[in-house]
Amino acid sequence: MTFKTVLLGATAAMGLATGAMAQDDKTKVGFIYVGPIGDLGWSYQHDQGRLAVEEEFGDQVETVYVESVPEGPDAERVLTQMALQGADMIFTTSFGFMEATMNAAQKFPDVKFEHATGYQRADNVSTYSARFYEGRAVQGLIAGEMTESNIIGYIGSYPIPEVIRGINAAYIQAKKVNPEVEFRVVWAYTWFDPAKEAEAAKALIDAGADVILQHTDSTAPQAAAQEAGDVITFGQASDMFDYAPNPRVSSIIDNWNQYYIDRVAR
Amino acid sequence: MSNIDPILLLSAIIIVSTPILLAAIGELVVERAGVLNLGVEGMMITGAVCGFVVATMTGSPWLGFAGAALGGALLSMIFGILTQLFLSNQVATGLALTLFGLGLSAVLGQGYIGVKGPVVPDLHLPVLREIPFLGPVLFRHDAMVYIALLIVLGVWLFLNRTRMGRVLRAVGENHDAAHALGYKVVRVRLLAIAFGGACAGLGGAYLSLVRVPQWTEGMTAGAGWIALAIVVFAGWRPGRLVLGAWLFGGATALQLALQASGGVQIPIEYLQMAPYLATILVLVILRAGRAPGSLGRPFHASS
Repeated sequence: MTFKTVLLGATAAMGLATGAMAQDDKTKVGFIYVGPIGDLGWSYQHDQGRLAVEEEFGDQVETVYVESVPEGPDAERVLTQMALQGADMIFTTSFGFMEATMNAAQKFPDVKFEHATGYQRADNVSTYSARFYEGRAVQGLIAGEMTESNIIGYIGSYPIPEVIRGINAAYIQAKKVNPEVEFRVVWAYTWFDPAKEAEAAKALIDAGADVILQHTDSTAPQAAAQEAGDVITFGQASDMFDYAPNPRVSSIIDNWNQYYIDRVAR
Repeated sequence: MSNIDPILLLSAIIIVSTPILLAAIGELVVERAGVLNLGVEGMMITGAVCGFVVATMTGSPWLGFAGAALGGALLSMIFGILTQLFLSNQVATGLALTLFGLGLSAVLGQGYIGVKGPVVPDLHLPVLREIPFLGPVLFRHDAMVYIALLIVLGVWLFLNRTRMGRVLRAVGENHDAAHALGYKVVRVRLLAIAFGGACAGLGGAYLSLVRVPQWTEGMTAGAGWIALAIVVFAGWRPGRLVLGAWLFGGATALQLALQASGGVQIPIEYLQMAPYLATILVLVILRAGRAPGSLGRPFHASS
């Protein structure tokens, strides 16, 4: 992964270098993603937002992105590279990029950074998020109503505020409509690892869960649920429509398009 | 704890460990021939996409597995030609192969994201599958699980009981001596590399066709590196390789099952590190073997 990002960064650098010479009044917007844009989940939706920005502003804006960036010090290197290549604005689209974003922002006071789902800010760092918990609450309600075993499985990614908030929201609503309900949370400690996500879903199904909620980004849990039959799931971040109507009964779809367009317009 | 069904857990262990086992047994042969190919991850993911694409196009998972083996072997030949004929650095070339494989697979898989592949049926073993406990644990899997174990057995027999296997080991231990004896060092190594690629491809296809089953970019998510590590910890011995893969798979399946069963009092962080710790501990206690003498060293007939 590390080396892939280096390569991607290198090609981006070449593209930018020529672009910068030709026309410097273009706004350059960078995005870094935690998973591949083909995950059909979280990173996919952010990339849809990037494409919307390109469509809205046409020639005035140039976008660059680096996918599958590991959370941690590597992210800072990618951000530094992007800033050096002349990005005016950079969106860092995963919680684990927080430290890296803060550090990079200190080094490049003229570049505007926006960090998704984090809680640290600076003069040139803003944060943004969505009310995911509202969607989670709706999922909790559906889950509570539909479960027959009264065991609801939840694949958590990392125990961070956004994820815990989602679990709580779903749990409170599920408990409201079905006091018998019990939540089983499996922490996968990854945002994206289809094999592990599938395994986590199977472990939950084996433990008796007939509803699976997920906060990881691939569609693997959907496939696992489909194989098991009698289990329902919810799309995470994206539609995951390929698994509708069964097992996927509903989805939280993150639509970042308008937000990105608004922010870039400023 | 009491909520965990041991039958389901044990059968999960076998499934979880199969892709790693396949990739690792291939790499074991490559390393016993004295070549260090760090491109396992790249060959696995290429196998995953080739297997999925072929299986979806033909509707036959078995052709898919064949395609995966072929894809992995072809990719490994890039590594083979560069390192064996052009004497490029094995570590750098292997790493580059991983990068290349990840990129190539993303391109090949473009039209297959979200597509459903054919179902790999369970192998119906009459009588055996009805044995209480052992039946569901051991005899209700798909054929690839048994093929993987047969490959391991075959490799063990090959390395220890056949003349060709001994030649391969000689090439790996001391390529100059093997060359002096008239063995074709480069040819043996190229064959070993192709075998390694084919096995890694099968391991990848097991992920995309059985374990997940779907195609997603980057879906191997580091399994190839685990396979590489297990080869070293197993001391380059096929028997211990199975143990290592099952231990790793076992601890992974167990920690997920523990979490899913609810009411676990162990902090999650310890469960997360359990697979790695357990594998390292046991294989270190068993005392790992010695690396092949010529591992990673370039060979040219003139030197």
